[in-house]
Amino acid sequence: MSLTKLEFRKIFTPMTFITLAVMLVVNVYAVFQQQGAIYAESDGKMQRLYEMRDAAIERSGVIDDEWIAARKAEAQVIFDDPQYRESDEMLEQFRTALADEGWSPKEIEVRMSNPTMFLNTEGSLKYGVIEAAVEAAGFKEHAAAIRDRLLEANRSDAEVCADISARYDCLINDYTAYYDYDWAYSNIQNGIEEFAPFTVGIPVLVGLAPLFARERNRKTDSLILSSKRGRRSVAAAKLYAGMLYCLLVWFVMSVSTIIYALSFFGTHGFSSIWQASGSNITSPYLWTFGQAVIVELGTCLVGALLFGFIAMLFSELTKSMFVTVILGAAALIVPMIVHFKTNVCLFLPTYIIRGVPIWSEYFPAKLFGGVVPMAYLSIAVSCILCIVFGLAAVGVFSKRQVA
Amino acid sequence: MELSINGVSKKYKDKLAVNALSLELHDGIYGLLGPNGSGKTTLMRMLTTVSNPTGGSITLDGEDIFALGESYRDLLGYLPQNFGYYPNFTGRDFLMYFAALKGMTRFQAEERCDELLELTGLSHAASKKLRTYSGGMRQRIGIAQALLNDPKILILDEPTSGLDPAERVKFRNIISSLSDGRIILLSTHIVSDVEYIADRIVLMKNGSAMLNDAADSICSAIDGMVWECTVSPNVSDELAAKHVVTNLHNTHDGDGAVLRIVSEARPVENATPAEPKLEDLYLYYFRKELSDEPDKA
Repeated sequence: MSLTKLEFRKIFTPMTFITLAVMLVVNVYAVFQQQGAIYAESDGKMQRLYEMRDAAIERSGVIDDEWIAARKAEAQVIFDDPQYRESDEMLEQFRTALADEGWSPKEIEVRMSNPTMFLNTEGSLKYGVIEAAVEAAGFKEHAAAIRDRLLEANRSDAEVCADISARYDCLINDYTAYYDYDWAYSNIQNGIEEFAPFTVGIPVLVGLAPLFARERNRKTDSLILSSKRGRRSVAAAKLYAGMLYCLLVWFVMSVSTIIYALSFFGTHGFSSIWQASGSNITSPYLWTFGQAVIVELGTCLVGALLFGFIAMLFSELTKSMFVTVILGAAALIVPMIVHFKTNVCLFLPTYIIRGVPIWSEYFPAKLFGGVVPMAYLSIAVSCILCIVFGLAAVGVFSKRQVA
Repeated sequence: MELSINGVSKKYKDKLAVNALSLELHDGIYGLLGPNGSGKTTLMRMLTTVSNPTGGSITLDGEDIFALGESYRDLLGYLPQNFGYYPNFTGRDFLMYFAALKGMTRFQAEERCDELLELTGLSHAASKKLRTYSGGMRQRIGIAQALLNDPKILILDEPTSGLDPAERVKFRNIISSLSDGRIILLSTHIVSDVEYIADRIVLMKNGSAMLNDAADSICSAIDGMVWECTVSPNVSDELAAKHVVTNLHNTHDGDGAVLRIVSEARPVENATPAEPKLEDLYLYYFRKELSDEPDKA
């Protein structure tokens, strides 16, 4: 009989079901959060959302020189229209406010050089309809700026510089980018990036924290440990059950996110350019938005498994569900609050569950004589750590003594 | 089959729970008697490999049981004191889970579970969740899981705890019927649990085996020391303060009390010798420990 199946069943306590149900509801919020905010600002009217959607569909196409010129011209029309310009007095007030907040004159000038700063409310609304397309039109300049910044930061390493140049030049010069209405994919991405630590991480923690610890709390460990298969076999069964559970949680949350997003926002945008989806995407990977979302979902799965193995190891080491939950919650939430300046954060389970951060920026690393994106290392190390933590949990459990 | 306990000790920080204990166990029923803290549970945990000894060794037919690992545990059936359960499992689920842990196939497990549920009188409650079970029912399901793999070595720690008298009799009968070709070690506070079924009795005190003898001859240790007498209530109180009184009941007219006393010398003139019983032996040997225990009533 399958021990794994029986251990899997033990994971599903009432608390596990409640947590999953709550996170499915949170998932709805995650998917509709962005457009929900626009809807709320529009006094509960869908008109603006339809306007933005239609504008995106109308402008879909290959991002070539002609397309770029057309988008820039559209933007310039708005910037040049006096009815959309803020008054000089308002601009002066804004400049003063920035100075009062401690901005330096140079910083203020940089900020004020952005033409959108001169738009009044009506102008901002008008520009907002085409803003995404205009940003997409600027992706080559944006990529070039990032490339130059990275080259400067890595100027001492010729090999890394060669890699950076090759990747970004390919994106800028050789890649055929496409623009389309891509809300479905941007919302899936937002759901993973901002909410997956909660919608995936918390059910994983709640489900797996008791997996090993409960046997001591419930005093079932003496019955288990004295059975023929009660040491390594049952520990391995718990690990397999834990892995299956992580996979199930990830699958349910991913599928629900995809269904919500594609049902409401349609399937347009799979082929649209990823780097134009927001200023936080600065990496040179030649993925469409749909492909990037698939990579992010896969990364989220790796993160869920890593976090699951950590939770199971904590559960066995501490033999306390409560302590495991506290430690696991801290491991999950602290990296979302505290910003880490080093690349170490790319190896933290929270970042990997979030999918986007390890791919959104480009971190080249030297390894075995070549240049490898740090993101690849992050995934590889996560897989190795899953094995190490799993073996550690089995090892400790099989040596366990009843106190 | 010979299970040898060779100078086994277990030390927890500054407490020596089992102190260089040696025993040879062969086929048959062994009753392990002793007050709280005498080391019975600790010994049983070491015999079931859930606790490692800090000294000595335990061997089965000459091989260390910890080295044997799975092959030793395959022979084991264990019912711990105060064992846990999974509240959302039904009785059948619980047995099937432990059947899987004991390496049984699904077919074997289903048949065996039905058999044991019937034997322990739990067939009617097999589909009910364990959280709905009474204390006695949970104890019976614990006994059932200990018997799942038809163990050759059965270790039962306070197995009749929570059982009513009828259930205790039934339990004794089950154990008696199983004793052929098995080592059964049964620890209890309730002397009657072992008095009628054990082949050998081991008295444990402070982690050591004080007495180890055949059940029908162990009481010879207090031969000539058990007395019965009828005295007035005043005298009864005096005697109770000075001697080990193993039984006291007042006469119907209320003018006197019939005492059963364990004493080396005749306690009063009219005391007559009585046949020693296991309870007399237990109360005599553990008189100090029992008087130190808090009143459980």
